[in-house]
Amino acid sequence: MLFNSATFILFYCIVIITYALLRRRVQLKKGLLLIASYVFYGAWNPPFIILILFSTIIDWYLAKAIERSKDNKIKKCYLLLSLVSNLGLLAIFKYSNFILESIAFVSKSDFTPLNIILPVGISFYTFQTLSYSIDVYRGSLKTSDSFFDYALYVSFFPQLVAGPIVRASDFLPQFKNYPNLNFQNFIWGLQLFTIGLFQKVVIADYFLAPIANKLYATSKAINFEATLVGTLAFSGQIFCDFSGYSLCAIGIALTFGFKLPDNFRYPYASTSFSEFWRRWHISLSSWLRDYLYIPLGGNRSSKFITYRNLFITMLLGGLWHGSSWNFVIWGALHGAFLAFERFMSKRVKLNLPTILKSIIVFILVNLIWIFFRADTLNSSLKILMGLFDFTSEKNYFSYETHEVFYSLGIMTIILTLQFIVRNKPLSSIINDIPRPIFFMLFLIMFTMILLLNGDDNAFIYFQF
Amino acid sequence: MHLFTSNSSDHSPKNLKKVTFILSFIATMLLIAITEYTLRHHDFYPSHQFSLTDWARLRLSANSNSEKNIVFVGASRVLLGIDSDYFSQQFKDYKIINLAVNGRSGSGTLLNLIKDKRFKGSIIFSTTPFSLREESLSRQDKWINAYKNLKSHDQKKENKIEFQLTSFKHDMAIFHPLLNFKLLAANKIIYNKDFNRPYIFVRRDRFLDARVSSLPQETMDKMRSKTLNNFKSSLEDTPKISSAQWQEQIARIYSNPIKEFIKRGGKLIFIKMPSDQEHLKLELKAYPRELYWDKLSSILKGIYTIHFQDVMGVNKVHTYDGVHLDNKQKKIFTPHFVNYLKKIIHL
Repeated sequence: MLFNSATFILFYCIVIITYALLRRRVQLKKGLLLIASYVFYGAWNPPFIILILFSTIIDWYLAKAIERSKDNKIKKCYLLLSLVSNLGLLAIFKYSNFILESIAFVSKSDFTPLNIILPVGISFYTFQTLSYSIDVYRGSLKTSDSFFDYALYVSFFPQLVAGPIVRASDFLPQFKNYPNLNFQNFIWGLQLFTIGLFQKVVIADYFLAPIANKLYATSKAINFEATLVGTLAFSGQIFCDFSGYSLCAIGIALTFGFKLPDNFRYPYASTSFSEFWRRWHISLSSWLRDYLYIPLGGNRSSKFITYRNLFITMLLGGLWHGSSWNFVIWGALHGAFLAFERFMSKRVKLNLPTILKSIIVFILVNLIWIFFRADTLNSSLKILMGLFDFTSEKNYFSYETHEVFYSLGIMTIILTLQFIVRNKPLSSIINDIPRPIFFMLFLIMFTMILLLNGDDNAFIYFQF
Repeated sequence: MHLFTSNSSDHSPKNLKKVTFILSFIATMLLIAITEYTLRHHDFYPSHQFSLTDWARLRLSANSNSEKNIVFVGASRVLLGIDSDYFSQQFKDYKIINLAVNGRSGSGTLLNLIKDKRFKGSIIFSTTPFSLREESLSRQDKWINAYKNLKSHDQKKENKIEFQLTSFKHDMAIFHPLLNFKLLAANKIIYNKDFNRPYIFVRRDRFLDARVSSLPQETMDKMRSKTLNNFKSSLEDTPKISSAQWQEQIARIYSNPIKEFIKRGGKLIFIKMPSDQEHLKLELKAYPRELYWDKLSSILKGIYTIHFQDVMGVNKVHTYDGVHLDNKQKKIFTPHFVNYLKKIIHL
């Protein structure tokens, strides 16, 4: 059930109206949200509900056992069990084919892919259950008193399949002071949902996706112009697709009164790679920081160990996105840039204007996106080489004039806007917009959402 | 909650403009309604785009093991030439399934249907001696492959609900593919091109309406000569084969599957849809009727054939582009065709 589908709108209307009718019956409200979440998840593939239940139950009991246990060794064993079961699920469903293919490649034997369907959102909810167990192990979180509260935390439908990855410490306390429906939150939630949907349906799917897809599907030779237009289009597509989804999720949750963490803060306005990762997929990067980078030693040891930790964290972050070498390279490149940036910042003080720094980071991030989007390493290299090919011949792949116009135009607008409002929360932007402009903006957004449809409307991050 | 600092949910704006937000939604609905009304007022009609998956689902729906299915196979001529409202009225107890594909000869789909034991109904197959040839067999492969690859996911309840919930789009002129915002804006701003008013409208049942009353005569003349020239070059580009070779080819490809199909209760009608005299002359010169079309029923035992020249009232038609009936002409042709059909066969 996609947020941009009529089925979801119907589903949402039924749930929110029933939720409102339950007024102050908190237990029933939680029950309704839990059932709705499983229906939402089951709409993709009902048997996979068993998988999410498995993950929920395992971590519920293991976290309780960790909390009860006084012996550190036993605690560690329980934690290890949690890690093995959660990462095991990921390994089986997400990485089996990748591992077997890599082994076959090394041993030069034949490889026939196993017929495994990737359960949607598995990477997101296993990270949530994992963080719960780890936090309890560290003593920074007390286990939930109610299994249903915990089950709802794992399966809460707005963020279930593509994040943001919510920490139990952020979500579970909201049950203690159970949020009532209020009109202010409801309208603000709907406004966020509308903006997110506009990003996804109109900018990502309708304008940019067809342009980006063309570049990555062509078998023709590629030159500089095509690479520029196609890569910029993908850059805009992935941002609008994913941040659009996150904003929809945050908005929907808020209409029920629940607060979810931010996932994006104008990432293309970043002036460094470390800033980029504080602005892009924040819930994942902060998860990786707290549960991988810091346990690895973070920046507490030698400089070399710090660079190594940055590199490993991003490499595994890349692998989290998908089971292919391209994602590994994508992560490795980000890790390398982060390490290089840290190395340079201690030695060279460059007083470049902020905008110039932003442009440099944006160009590099764009180049790395090529590995993220291309299906194979060869295809990525072919597109990268296109950057150095200024030939303009008939047998080369080329874009229509309007596609060039849309890709460059939309990306210029996105970059300019992100740079201008880089430190301003969305709430304060909405606050400051004069009423007539606000009216026109939402009129345009509603109209375009309702009338314009892209060819492919699935969210990119569902596959992760 | 230290994370909630930027985009969204820690603080809602003080000035949330709730009323303005609700008003903008109401205004959007009004704007869409007014635009739809204006379009209708200016002779724009609803038109729907069907995906390969939609076609595959339709194809799947033909496998109902019922003899009360009538399936149309062919290309644009049957899509534009059949008044499906009239046809459905005349065959009320039947499920009418339209599998014709614009611009593509339907021989491949025909074979796919008659070889499928789950299909038992009747097929009305619009074709010509030229497009029955072996070279045309693969022209609807993309659609047939979509059917073969139809995954269980595509038949899910969720998709059916989505299809029902969004079916209002079929009835709205504002969703016409030619009113594509991206192209309209590009034509206006970049290419400085005039807006080409749509005259073909895709109906909900996939049949087409050609509403040509607003087309200038000059445009229609150009279209007619273009169609004729295209046909000339296709005839010239395709290696010629004698009637005997053609008959051998037809028998080899179609004979056995058709025999099996008819044996299990299927009925198959080959129809040659109307075209202009100029076009017909050219076709008959290359494929004389007595040596090609009229041989069909003796090569393929059990089939019925209808040539538009034999259907009184439409045998001397003058079409807008040389080969396609417009909306008014199909309303004349279909009753004649149905009468003729009822005379020769009891479906």
